[in-house]
Amino acid sequence: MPDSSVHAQGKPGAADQAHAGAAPYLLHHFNSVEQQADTSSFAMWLFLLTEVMFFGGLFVVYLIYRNWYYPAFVAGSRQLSVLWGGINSVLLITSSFTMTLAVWNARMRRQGGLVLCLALTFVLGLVFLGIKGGEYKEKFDKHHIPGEHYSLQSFLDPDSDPVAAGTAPLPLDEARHTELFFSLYFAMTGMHALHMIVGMGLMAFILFRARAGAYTAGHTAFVEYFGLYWHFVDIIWIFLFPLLYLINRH
Amino acid sequence: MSEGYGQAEEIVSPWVYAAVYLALLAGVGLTIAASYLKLGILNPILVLTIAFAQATLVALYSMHLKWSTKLNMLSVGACIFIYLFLIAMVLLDYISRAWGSW
Repeated sequence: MPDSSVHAQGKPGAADQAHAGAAPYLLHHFNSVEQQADTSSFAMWLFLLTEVMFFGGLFVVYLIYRNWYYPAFVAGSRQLSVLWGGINSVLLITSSFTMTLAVWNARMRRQGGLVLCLALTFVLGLVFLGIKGGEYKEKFDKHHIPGEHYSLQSFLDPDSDPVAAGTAPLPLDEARHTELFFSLYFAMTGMHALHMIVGMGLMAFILFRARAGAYTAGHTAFVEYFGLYWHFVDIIWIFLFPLLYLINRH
Repeated sequence: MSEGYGQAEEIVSPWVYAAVYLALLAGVGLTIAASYLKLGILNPILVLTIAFAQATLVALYSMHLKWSTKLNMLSVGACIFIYLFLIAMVLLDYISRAWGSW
């Protein structure tokens, strides 16, 4: 190792001296806490924008196929429960609200409030996933999972299915396209649920650290950027709910 | 030192969040109600308009974009523009292709 680097490690550098007296969480390559906050928030937003493009691709596929096979998409959508979808919307919006309160509590340095709000957000997310699991189970029981065992019965003979009773039967070629609707349903809600599961793993970590007082001493960045992620997941659901559950309900 | 940087320390009153929360819940109710109306092509337009309004509220207030840096706002605007542009290009192909003629 050259001598110069030994000296550089041994002595405090110019940057370290400039940071004397600054917040302990200010990293050496930033000039100020403000610059650090702006840089990291920009990075978080850029990440979320790549996520917009990721889900955006799925929405475009949905748009084209919905136009193409509209009767099949209407029949597929009627198989979903507006009640459970609506309850899940309320749950997720409420969890987004408790998340904003968690960030507020962190900024106000209220540890108890932060832990409570994070715990509420976590529980609401868990209930959302539980309901989603119940909905998936129902689709599994009715053989509406795309693949080898997919059943067209609800669409060819609607009166055999209480949910579809009274609607007009679809011709075979159109009924086959309901499988496409369910493929998109599982891809989109499954990807959304996966984002929630990842989010809840992070939230458990944040909750654990918050109990030790990590985010109520002035450095709230981690909670804030996690909040951005959680709200983004909420926004995706805000679009998924009407597009999947509410096609032509009248 | 903070000149040119955003207002990262802006603290918003919880009442603002509560108002946004109520507006979002109202949006869910309106979306469900709208889907039971017989409006034809206006149905998806109406529910998507409500969804965009809800998403805007979440981005501006819950995600603090309203108090964020101009760089962040510009990035979000650019992303939405590029996304809509890409959809338009896909749809151009979709509506101009002679489907079934080959």
